[in-house]
Amino acid sequence: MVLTTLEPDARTGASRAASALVSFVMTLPDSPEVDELPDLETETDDERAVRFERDAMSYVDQLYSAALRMTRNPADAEDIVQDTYLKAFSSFHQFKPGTNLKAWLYRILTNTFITGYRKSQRQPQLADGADVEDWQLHRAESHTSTGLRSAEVEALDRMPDGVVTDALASLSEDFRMAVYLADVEGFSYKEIAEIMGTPIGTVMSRLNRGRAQLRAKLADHAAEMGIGVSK
Amino acid sequence: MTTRRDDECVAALKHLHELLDDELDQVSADAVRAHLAACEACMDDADALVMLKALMKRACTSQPAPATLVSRISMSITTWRTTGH
Repeated sequence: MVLTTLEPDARTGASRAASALVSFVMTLPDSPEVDELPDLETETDDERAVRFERDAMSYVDQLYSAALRMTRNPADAEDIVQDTYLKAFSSFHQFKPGTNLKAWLYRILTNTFITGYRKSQRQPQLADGADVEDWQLHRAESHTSTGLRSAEVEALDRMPDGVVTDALASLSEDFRMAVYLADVEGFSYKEIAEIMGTPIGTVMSRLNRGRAQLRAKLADHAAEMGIGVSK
Repeated sequence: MTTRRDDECVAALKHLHELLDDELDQVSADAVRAHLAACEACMDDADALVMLKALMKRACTSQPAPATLVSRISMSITTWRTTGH
């Protein structure tokens, strides 16, 4: 398993200046800022364990929630989160303090899911549903159903949460994860690319196609329920 | 047959996700917004996408990790530390 250190969050000029200041300050003795970032050379195992507990364990609910969306069942979600934390702990000395810990953990979670769990899972892989996507993209680009959109927005607004999560669960794995990471977790394209180990263009394509499929599925559901959307 | 208006729509829709995900530079974002303001059909698409994103966030609420999971993690780390792996 490859665990590279993720790039820091995309920085503004101001925060770049701030981190330049931090590295300058760190060379000074008795500076209070030194406490912010641990010295990995002198940190003991116990200190590292405490730091891991404090920093990494605070993401356990988020990682478990994401794992539930990936695996679609609680027992498997627990297994991959446990594996993720053990892997994260055993390579925590490679994690660069001050960089994006949340994205680093998500990357390990995703790798664990893809390399371990997915190989052994019993559920069949879902097809990408390219036919739905092409139809939907064509429809979106050419506005063949102009006039139905405001009704669609109203229908979406009233959509029960369970219908939405079912629609998400029905997407192929790559689409599901891209949409989840962007819309629920709010990761940037660059972060998602690092987490999923793909180029940014692939992330964009997965988001486009995943959302188009979600929208088509939800519109279908709304039509079945007789709310809002004409076909 | 493709009209100029359709070309503009295709160009705008191509960047719609980036705009709504806050991934577009200022100049490109302004261009897409200008088109949306002038094209009701594209604005409707944008509205639907904004709603979809909000809906995802609303529906996928964070689930608390079971207490048993947290103790399993803690135990597996302790075991790893005491055995060396």
